[in-house]
Amino acid sequence: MVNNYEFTPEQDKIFAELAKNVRFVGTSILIIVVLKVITFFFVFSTHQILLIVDLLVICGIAISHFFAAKSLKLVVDTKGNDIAHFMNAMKNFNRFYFLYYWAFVIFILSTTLSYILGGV
Amino acid sequence: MSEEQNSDNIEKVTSAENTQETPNQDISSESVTEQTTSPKEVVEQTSEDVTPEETPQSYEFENEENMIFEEFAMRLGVVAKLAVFTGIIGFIRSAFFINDGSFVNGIATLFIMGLLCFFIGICHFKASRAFLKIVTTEGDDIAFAMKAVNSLRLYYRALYGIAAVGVIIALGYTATIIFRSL
Repeated sequence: MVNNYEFTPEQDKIFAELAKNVRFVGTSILIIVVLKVITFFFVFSTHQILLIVDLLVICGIAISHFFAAKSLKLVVDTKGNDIAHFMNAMKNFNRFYFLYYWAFVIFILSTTLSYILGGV
Repeated sequence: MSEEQNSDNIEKVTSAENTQETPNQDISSESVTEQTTSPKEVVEQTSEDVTPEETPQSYEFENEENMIFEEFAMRLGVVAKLAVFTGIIGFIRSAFFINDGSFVNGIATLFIMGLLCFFIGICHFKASRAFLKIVTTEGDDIAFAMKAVNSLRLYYRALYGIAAVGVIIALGYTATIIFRSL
């Protein structure tokens, strides 16, 4: 088995485009987080405390996007470690989907609970 | 089913037995071409400074890497199912809106909730399947990886536009809140 697989220039183009888009999405998420924090101070209310948890999860998603974009860019820019960088990118995408998955599960559970409790 | 059970159940299929599972040429034609060319052809295709040793024809991911792909594929599959489900709900809702004579709401729901979610679901399904094929087959790992990356690229291309619109809306909303409170 060969460990130093090198992606072709055509494949590098795909990685470069994906890295650019992933970085943009990460930046956009961070901008939205900053704007949410600003509005948090202007319209502060106790129920918005939950927003902090929400923002922390979103920050985690943004950070995993940044790391994934960085690893994908390294696939394009460097030689000799393409697979390692690719796997790093996959790990970071995996982290994002882990957060996404559990955020959804918690959302479903809290919605169901509030529905049941509201019904009672 | 746990990850360990999953990996135990996975039967490695050799590329010779599994030639029909080679990804479509249109999605990652360059990588598939690379898999099928001889070492001599690879030398001709690469630039002068790259030696044949530096451009191996195929790469087989290790067990630890396969576990990451398997977990990733599982999560992508969940997101895909959710997105397709939301898309179907969107189609049904848009039909109700149009039936009630609310064409603007109907068309907006059709495009934003129906088609977009359906597209996201299909991208995730394709990526999930390709990542799973990396784990369950041998000989075409890079081709399947490129197929999966291609699907993710299409998704992120769409997300690029959605993120841009999201930032504009968030900026507008924040500006409104600030002006109202002043």
